[in-house]
Amino acid sequence: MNRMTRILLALAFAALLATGAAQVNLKVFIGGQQRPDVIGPLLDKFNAENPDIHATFEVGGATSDVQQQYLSTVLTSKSSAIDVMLIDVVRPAQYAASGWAEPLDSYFASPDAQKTYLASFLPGPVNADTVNGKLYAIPAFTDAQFLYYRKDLLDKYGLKPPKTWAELKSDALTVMKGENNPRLQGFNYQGAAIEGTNCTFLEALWTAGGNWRDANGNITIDTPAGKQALGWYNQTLSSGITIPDIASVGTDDSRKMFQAGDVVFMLNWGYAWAHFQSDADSAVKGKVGVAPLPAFQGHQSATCVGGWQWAMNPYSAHKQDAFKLMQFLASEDSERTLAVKASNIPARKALYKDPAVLEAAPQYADFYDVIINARPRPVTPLYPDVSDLIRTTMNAFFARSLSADQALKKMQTGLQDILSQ
Amino acid sequence: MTGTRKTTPYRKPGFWRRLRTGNLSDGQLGALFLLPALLTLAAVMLYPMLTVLWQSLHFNRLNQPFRGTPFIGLENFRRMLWGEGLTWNLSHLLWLRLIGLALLAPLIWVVRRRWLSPLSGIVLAVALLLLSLYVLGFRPGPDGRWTDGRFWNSFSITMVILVSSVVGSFVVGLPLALLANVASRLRWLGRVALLLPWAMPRVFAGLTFAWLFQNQYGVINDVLRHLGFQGPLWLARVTPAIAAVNMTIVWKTSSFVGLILLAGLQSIDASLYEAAVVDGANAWQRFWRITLPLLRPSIAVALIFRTLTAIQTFDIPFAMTRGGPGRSLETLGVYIYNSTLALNIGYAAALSVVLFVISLTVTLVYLRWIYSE
Amino acid sequence: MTGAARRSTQRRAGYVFVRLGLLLMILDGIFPAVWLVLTSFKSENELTRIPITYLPQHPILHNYLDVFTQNPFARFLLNSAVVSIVATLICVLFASLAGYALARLRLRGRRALLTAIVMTSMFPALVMLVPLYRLFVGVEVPGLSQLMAYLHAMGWSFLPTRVMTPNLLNTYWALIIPYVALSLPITTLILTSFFQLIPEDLESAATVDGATRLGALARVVVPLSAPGMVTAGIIAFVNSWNEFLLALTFNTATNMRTVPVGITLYQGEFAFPWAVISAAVTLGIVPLVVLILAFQQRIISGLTAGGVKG
Repeated sequence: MNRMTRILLALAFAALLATGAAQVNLKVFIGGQQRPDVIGPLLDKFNAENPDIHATFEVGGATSDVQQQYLSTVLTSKSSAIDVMLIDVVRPAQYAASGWAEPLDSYFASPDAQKTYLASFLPGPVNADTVNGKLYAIPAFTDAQFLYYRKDLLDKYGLKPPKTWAELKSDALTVMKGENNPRLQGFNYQGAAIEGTNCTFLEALWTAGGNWRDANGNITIDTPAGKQALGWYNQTLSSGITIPDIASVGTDDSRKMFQAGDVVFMLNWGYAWAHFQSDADSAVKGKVGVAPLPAFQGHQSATCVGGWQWAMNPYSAHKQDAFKLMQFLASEDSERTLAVKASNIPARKALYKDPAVLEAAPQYADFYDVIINARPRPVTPLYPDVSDLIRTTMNAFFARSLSADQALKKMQTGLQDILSQ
Repeated sequence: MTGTRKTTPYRKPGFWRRLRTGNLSDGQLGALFLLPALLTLAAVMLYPMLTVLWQSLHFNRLNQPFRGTPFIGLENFRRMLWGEGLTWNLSHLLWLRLIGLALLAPLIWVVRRRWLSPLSGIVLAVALLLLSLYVLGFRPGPDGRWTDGRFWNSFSITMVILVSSVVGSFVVGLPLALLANVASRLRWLGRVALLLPWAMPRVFAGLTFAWLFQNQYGVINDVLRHLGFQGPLWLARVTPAIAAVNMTIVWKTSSFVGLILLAGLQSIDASLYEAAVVDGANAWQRFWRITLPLLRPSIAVALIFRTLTAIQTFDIPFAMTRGGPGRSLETLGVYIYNSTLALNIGYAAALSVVLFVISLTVTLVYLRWIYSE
Repeated sequence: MTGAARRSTQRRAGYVFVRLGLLLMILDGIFPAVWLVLTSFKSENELTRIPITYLPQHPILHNYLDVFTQNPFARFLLNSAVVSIVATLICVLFASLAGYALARLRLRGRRALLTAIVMTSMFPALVMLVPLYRLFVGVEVPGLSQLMAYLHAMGWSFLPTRVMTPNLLNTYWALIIPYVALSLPITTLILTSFFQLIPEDLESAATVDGATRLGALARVVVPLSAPGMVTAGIIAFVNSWNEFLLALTFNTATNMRTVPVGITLYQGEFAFPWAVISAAVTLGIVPLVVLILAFQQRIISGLTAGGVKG
């Protein structure tokens, strides 16, 4: 072979030897919406503290579904390209069943150490991350659905935030009649066939004292509680406090309508608050209040838990180091940074009393009362089928293609079929 | 001296010499020309296609790995296409079935006119017949049910979108192409109008139209309000949603059809029209006798690919309504997506195979039509 | 009215009708794009105002600034351009060769080959995603790998034990190769039908004139099929530019993202900032349309320049 080839081969050989001094490379996968600009510096800090590990991040698509798509491709191929990933709160059960998340119990020093560690987090996310008694993910930040309301309008009519759904309806009607504004909506929520619509249904069901399944595993949707829940939504539509095309309203549509000043009461996630207060063109700045969801007479308030968790790729080549990274990312300091800089609602209880956090986001003090009661959506490996059924049925119900009874029956029999597979 | 030079017998030049001088036989030249395309397709597509076929014969639920991936043969298909308690119910959707039967008559005429060979006619007839088993009234009786009613739902909405969007895209696309070919100074504007819908990514076209169809902030209902009508709740009710999605698909794909037809129009020799004018033909006759027959190959190409993409429709219904109010816009493409998201890989593969078979049948018929001369 | 006068009235009416139709069609095609452009100059709040505003009340340029500051959009444009242009050139080249073969040459099983080519576009890309991903991460080359293993065991231990295809993720080729394969069916079909239109006598005339088979191909066939080639090129280009699924999965490094995937990065999990995204989509479409229009006329005249017409 000629001279050039010989030189190149020698260089390649040398390069091969040089990489022998192994620096462990870790890859963290986050979605486009999870503030890579905040997580980047966190990783830099970790790299500085751990010189033999180099962690970088990879940014995926912006929504839960798109990221799920990508992660399932990578994990089905048993690729070790990713070590740590940020997954939605509804995923741990599926990932556990598919073998896509590494069980973390064995990485703690002892079961007691694990218990103490987890006690510092909010119970809702931890429950979502624990499948069949094993821990599959560590909470990064959390979320829940809140009742947003127009403080100024309620004050004008001498009303307090409603504690029951009936109160909400009468309050909304009072305000709508008084304002005499044809654009004003009394009550807005999500009815499109999106994941959030599961919460629209479950919250009404929970606040009626029911649940999708009872302690013995029977499906309990076509029950008086279910009828009460859907009956309430029928009332919102028939009384006119909700717009008739609610079946096409998604999460951000709701937020935008409220932000334009057209809504009195709204169910939405935590992200909306930052928009209301900080967006340059917000018509509701300083006029927004947050409260726990109302309930039916004689029952407790409840809300859906949201948020994201750190999980480990079981095909990762550096699991111990990955666990170290996860603990760093879930540490109080990191979560404080996330809360302050990225407006992520903290998953650690202590941070709700932390002065730095409260200074940056004083509303978290109000949020705490709501979040402490947040409940997980059905924790089952078959969640995608369950979610698909509930949200499409609710969407059909809001589109008036199904009556309340038909919808309840469909969900009941559908869930029985799914879970009997 | 007459000099008998020693002559060697004529030897055909070798392959490489002939390649250099460009004198290969048809078969060899053909093989050479086809090689790059076929190699690329085989390298990229063969393994995935075979994998999908293989997966469709297995049970594979990623979130239930403890059940393994056993070979189950055609069980996925049985679950998809069959049911229990199936009987003949001739009165169900009688009008639709009569239309289906009525379609057989022009089919027979077309075969008699030799536009389709008898073989293709038979293939098409059998396909139509199988299709109309559902329509002909072989369906679950009072105590029966389809094992997968959701499949038949997605099948029927896919067929609806197929027919309306293919017909619609041609109805809008052909005039568009004709107008963009008119000798006028505004021709470039027509070409831009042809190109823009095609240039927008499907997802954003869907999202944009979802916004345009919105009840409060959407342009379409606003315009209707100015005109004095109360617009329907487009994406929040079943029938308006189907209409809205079809309109969006037609908007997007008529430019695709228009582009292909425009290319076909441009290659028609202008002298043919001049000769026709001299012969006294009016515009309509010129269109019917010259333009349309010469456009036949372009129409065929546009038809094939329009059909293939219409059967696979996913982006626009998904972006606009996530599958429609309830499941009313869950086309086969959306159903496959939902199955994949539900980690039911075996079933998604089986659905894809059904999609493939439908597409193949249609294409075979179309291709015979192109090559029938 | 005399026959001539009637004909001229008809012609004038036809003229007006054509103009009106043209206008309506143009509006129909352009309107949503115009709407997007107008939106990109509005502020978010204006978008949810009732009654809706068509022209921006207080036009702002901030959205376009945001497009470039929130994400490396210029890089996305570059990536899309490289991938699409290369994929289009390769695809049209391969498709022309294949189309000519299928249209002209008397081959056995022509229809079967064409069907096979079209068959590859009958599976939705979604179900082929995992196998394609595996293919581009690196798979064992079947025959070669076993050969290497055998030789390695035989004592030639400096040889590798397996031969894998290279890991092409996060490179341009990871997208170019599949895009060529994805656009080949339609471009081949278009070009086949175009080549069929060209009368054979023209080619034989050229050959008689002393040109070789390939020379005739270049000098006669190509110019006459120019509209078909340009259309095939446009379709391949736009297909590659707008492709989403593979671009999302294969090129995940932020500086290798293409435009459609890049645009989704402006979304929040719930928040959909229409103003910024309209600006991004506009920026994604405009170069496309300008490029195509600018080159379309050039290419057609370039291809027909060397040709013999009629």
